[in-house]
Amino acid sequence: MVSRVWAVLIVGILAIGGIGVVNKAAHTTTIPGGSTNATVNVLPTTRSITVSPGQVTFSDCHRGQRPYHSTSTLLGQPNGECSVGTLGTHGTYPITIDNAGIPSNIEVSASNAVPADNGTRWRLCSTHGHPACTGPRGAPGVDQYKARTTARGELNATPLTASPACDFVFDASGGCRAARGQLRHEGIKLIGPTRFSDNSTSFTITITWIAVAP
Amino acid sequence: MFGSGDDGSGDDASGLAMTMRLSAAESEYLAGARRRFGRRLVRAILAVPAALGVLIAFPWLAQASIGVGVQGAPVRLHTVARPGSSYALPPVYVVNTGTQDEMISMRVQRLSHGPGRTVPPSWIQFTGNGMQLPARKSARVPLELVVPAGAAPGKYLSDVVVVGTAAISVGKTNLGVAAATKLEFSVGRASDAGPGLSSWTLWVIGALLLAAVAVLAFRVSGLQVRVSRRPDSSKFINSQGGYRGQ
Repeated sequence: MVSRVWAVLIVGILAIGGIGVVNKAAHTTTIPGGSTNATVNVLPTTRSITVSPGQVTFSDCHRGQRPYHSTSTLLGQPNGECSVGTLGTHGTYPITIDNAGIPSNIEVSASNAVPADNGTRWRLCSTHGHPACTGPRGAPGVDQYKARTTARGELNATPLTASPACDFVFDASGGCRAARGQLRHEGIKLIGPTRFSDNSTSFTITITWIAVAP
Repeated sequence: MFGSGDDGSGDDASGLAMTMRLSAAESEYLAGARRRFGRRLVRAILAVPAALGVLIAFPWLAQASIGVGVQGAPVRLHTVARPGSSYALPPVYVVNTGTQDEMISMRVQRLSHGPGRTVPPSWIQFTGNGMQLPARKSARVPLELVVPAGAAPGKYLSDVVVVGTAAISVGKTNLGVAAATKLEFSVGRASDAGPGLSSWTLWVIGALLLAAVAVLAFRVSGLQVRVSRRPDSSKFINSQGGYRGQ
């Protein structure tokens, strides 16, 4: 009977001691400032696109006929041509398109050209699409223009249309699928009308790149 | 030897003269070097503020960029929409990925390929459309789907297009950006009571209908259930706590 009482006492003492040790350990772990913050970066889940222009003027203009032959920076008629960047094998392609987010299709569209006086616009036309270019050999007609984006080594430039269409610069196989973080350097080529109706000396077009779900 | 010494003196004289000429050239060279250094220093001092001034006047030279992003996950309505009703769609996450503040505008346009009717843009109302979003900042834009009474039933598919309106001008070309995510929902028939109700409501209605049918069937069958109550013996406990004899 006495030994049983001793056993109970010993167990009780050990239990109280154990609780004390655990308590102390718990106190030890709650030292102020002992916590650690860890940040984990994750892959983006957004579809996004960024455009960075590296050049600010249409240049490298040529074609047209006297007295309206193009100068280096002024578009002439009929069917003068200008470009953003100097296009060709060793050319420069100053506009950077970056598919910063998840894999997407990159499409591009353009607006009509709006004259400074907001008068008669140049309609964006297409050789094979709608509205069709009405000039000779598929060239833009009166108050029409056409444009395309292009990149170094690209065999098929992307003719610009009013509704978004695949920007072939991103996919050599004929699509426009862009991988995550894929970027391309592009230039723009513009062919002006056979004849202008509006007397403005500047026309503005808007080119929009859009990232869409594949 | 003397002659040679004369020659030597001559050489010496010549050498002296040469030395003097060298000194003059050297000093001239040094002076020129000083001038060149001064010019370079002035150029270097002027170049920094000039470059800063140019970058301030023409910010595009600092590789300004415009960018916009939208959530990759499609915007979906998880119930079947009923004609004549409106629904709150999950807010759309948009982000300005460019280096300058942008006006973010949104519209509905069919860009995705696949089955489904095109969503008429007038069915979607954006709250906070045309908001100003600082560079590298994001926001969530609430959408509301308003289905007109005469809407055709079926699946609908279009895209929510987020446009960054801070276009960068390249000569007379404005460069713009946009990003799109799918918009998907289904519209039920106008006569269907069910599609607009939640599932638990349908279950309750179903259970009630089932109970009503069961009661009706029971009555029609002519079965009768008589419920009679037997007197409870506990009611006959007397005041002394004992039982009254039965």
